[in-house]
Amino acid sequence: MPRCARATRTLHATTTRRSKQRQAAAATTIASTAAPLHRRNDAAALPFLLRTCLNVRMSELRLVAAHKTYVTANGTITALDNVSVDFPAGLVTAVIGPSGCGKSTLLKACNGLVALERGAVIAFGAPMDYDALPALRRRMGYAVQGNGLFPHLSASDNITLMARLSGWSPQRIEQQLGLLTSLCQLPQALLAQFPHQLSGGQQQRVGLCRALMLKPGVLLLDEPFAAIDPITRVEIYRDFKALHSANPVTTVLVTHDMREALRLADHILVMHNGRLVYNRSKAQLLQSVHDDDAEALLLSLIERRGPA
Amino acid sequence: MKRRWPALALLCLVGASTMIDLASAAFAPVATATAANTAASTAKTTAIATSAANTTGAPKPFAEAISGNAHNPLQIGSKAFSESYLLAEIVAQLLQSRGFAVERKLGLGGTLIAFEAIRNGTIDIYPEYTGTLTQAVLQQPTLDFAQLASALQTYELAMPVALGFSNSYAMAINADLAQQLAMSKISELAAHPELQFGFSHEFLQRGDGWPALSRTYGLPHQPVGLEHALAYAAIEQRKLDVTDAYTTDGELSVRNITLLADDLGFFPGYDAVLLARRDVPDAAIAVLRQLQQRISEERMRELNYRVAQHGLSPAQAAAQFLQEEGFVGTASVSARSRWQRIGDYTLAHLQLTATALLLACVVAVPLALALFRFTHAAGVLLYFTGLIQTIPALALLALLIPWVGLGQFPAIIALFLYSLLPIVRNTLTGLLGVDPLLKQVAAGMGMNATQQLLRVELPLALPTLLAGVKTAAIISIGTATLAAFVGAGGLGEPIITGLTLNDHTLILEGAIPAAMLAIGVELLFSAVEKHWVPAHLRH
Repeated sequence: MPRCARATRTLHATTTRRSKQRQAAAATTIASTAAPLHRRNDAAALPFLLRTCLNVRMSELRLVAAHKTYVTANGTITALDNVSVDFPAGLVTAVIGPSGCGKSTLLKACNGLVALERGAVIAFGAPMDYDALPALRRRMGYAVQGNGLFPHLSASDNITLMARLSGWSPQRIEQQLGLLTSLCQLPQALLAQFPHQLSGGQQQRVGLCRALMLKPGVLLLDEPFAAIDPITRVEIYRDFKALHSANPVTTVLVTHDMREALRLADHILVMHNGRLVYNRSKAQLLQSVHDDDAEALLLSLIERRGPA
Repeated sequence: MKRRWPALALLCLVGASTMIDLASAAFAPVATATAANTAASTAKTTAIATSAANTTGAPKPFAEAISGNAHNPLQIGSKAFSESYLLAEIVAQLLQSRGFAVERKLGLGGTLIAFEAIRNGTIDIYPEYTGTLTQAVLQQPTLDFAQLASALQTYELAMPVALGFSNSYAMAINADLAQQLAMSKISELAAHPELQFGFSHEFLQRGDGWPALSRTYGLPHQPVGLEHALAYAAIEQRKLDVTDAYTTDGELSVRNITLLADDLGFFPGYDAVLLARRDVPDAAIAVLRQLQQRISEERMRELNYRVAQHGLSPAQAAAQFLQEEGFVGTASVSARSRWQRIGDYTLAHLQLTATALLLACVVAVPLALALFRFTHAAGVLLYFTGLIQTIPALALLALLIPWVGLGQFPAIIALFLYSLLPIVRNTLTGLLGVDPLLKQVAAGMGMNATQQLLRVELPLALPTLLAGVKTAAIISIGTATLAAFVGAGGLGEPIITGLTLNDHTLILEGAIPAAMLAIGVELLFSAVEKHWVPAHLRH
């Protein structure tokens, strides 16, 4: 079973434009071996050596039986209910679900902003060391919704701040900055501006460049495009794809917008009430459902309340 | 635990107000019985508290003490009322004319402060009254002159010179009326119950005022209370026959008013003396002895009148006196020019505020940085700095004297303490006001705690922090004018002297530069802000 799962992933990563027939065949294979969701990630538990021998790119980021509750005035809320997930390497995984489903907590667990009660975060092959978070976080890009840019720094200072703090040489910084900004079509003239002087779309591009500046192995995006008008969003999607194909990092994209997920992601996770209710590649999803209304699709996935 | 704080705060406030009472009571020539008690007991504790400091710091090396050379000028003090300024100027100018270097520390804020100043060596000589010493300072009202002199020896002080007049209460009567009734003594009033008495409210109420006076002399009169300022005119116009007066009141020298002799010795003697430290060089004392019995009550009245009515400065009146009495050849007040004077005051003022502000920044900002993540500790810090703020400036200065003496030191400490609150509060407000999302992003990007603080939180809190420092600076410039009361100098000196002498020009000499300093500080901080804070983040 594990091999199958991985095979599917590889398949779908490399053959996005294959014929429907072949995709259907692959999907049938999976369907026949489908196991309860939380079991499906047992593959992640395979020893390092074995995985290397299998010559599969190792996952940079996994959650194993992650559990987190919040105590509020209205009682205890379970934000992560025994969630195990293996984020496919080099791909964009969208984590989608309604507000309060736990998707943001899941993202923050990945870079240690939220500490798990039980379970583990396995990042870059080792359990997360909570005493060395800054070093680990520098290997994980992070961008958030809205104005996560530092208002007292210019756009370029925002992008290059961590590189400077990490002791990068000016030449190296200049080079990486030029590369990223040209990929997402940020004009050089804008780099000297302060964030408040930029449009929403430009701010998001700066945020993305900042997250990718240190060439991270993992990119964590917390609803980065939520506050942008639809037209600009189309352009940003394009630029994001350009950035990602140039830097194919393992990406976790938290969003509440199914259309965005379908647009950007290779893999779809759906969360509801702290549980992972859906975990498939986009290709599988598109094949198994026939609803072209994204919102209705999301609702139907949630209502299944379990693995497909 | 929390319940105890209000009680503690109350205690501090009560202590503070007591000190204020003391300071103001010290201005009056005769202290009330209760005030005198408090003053004396405070003076005692003061003496105990400072004795340790004195043994280490105060005694001057012998070689320095014997010569009043330029390196070790004699410090001449005065209290903050006209006559005291005048006498101190006479002393200072006389010594200067004989080649001694002197420095003036005039306008000390009351008996307590002046006495403490001479005890710890901040000043060497100041004019005082025997009655004030026996009642307010030593609390032994029965001492005669010789006993007082020996009592002062235990403080390492001496009264080498009695100036020749007494500034005490007296009964004033219309001169024509006195002649008509052939009256020259208070005891003779008893035979004339038809005379109309009018006293200042204070004299009417005080136990050692009218009630005791009427008992001693058996006076049957029913006096009325009235404003002292109106009394002399009323007597001249025969609307009133007898009132209370100070024997050296300048106005008496031009009014048609006679003072009745205190033939039963009811009023305590307020003989004017020069109080000097025993380590003042003998050569200087010898010069000062020339003043022995040289100023009569009439002469003093007349000198006071020159200052009060002719608009002379105490320095000018003193110079005239020294010339008229033949102490110096020509009247030469070696006064600095007005601009030079203002420059010196302003410089001293800046020195005070800048030192205090710098200290406050060095203490308050790191303290706020260290504690802002701990809500409880930050709250306690704010509470304490706020508590300090509630202590009135003059009271705080008075409270500090027993520990640190006089001069710039207590002033700097007080200004430092007052500056803490605005800086701490604004630093905390700034740091706590940083958008939580930005803190989260800073952490999520991989900054360690120090980097988060220095690269994100502090820069974002900077505008608020700077505003706090600016507030502290401007408050300090205002408060520092009070520092002149403890001999710290600065722009408060002309202001307080001007207030005492009712000299508006002198008040403005201090007030205008102080206002301009405040504006200057405002501009300076705007420039600093412009340099450090991007335009869109400025307040």
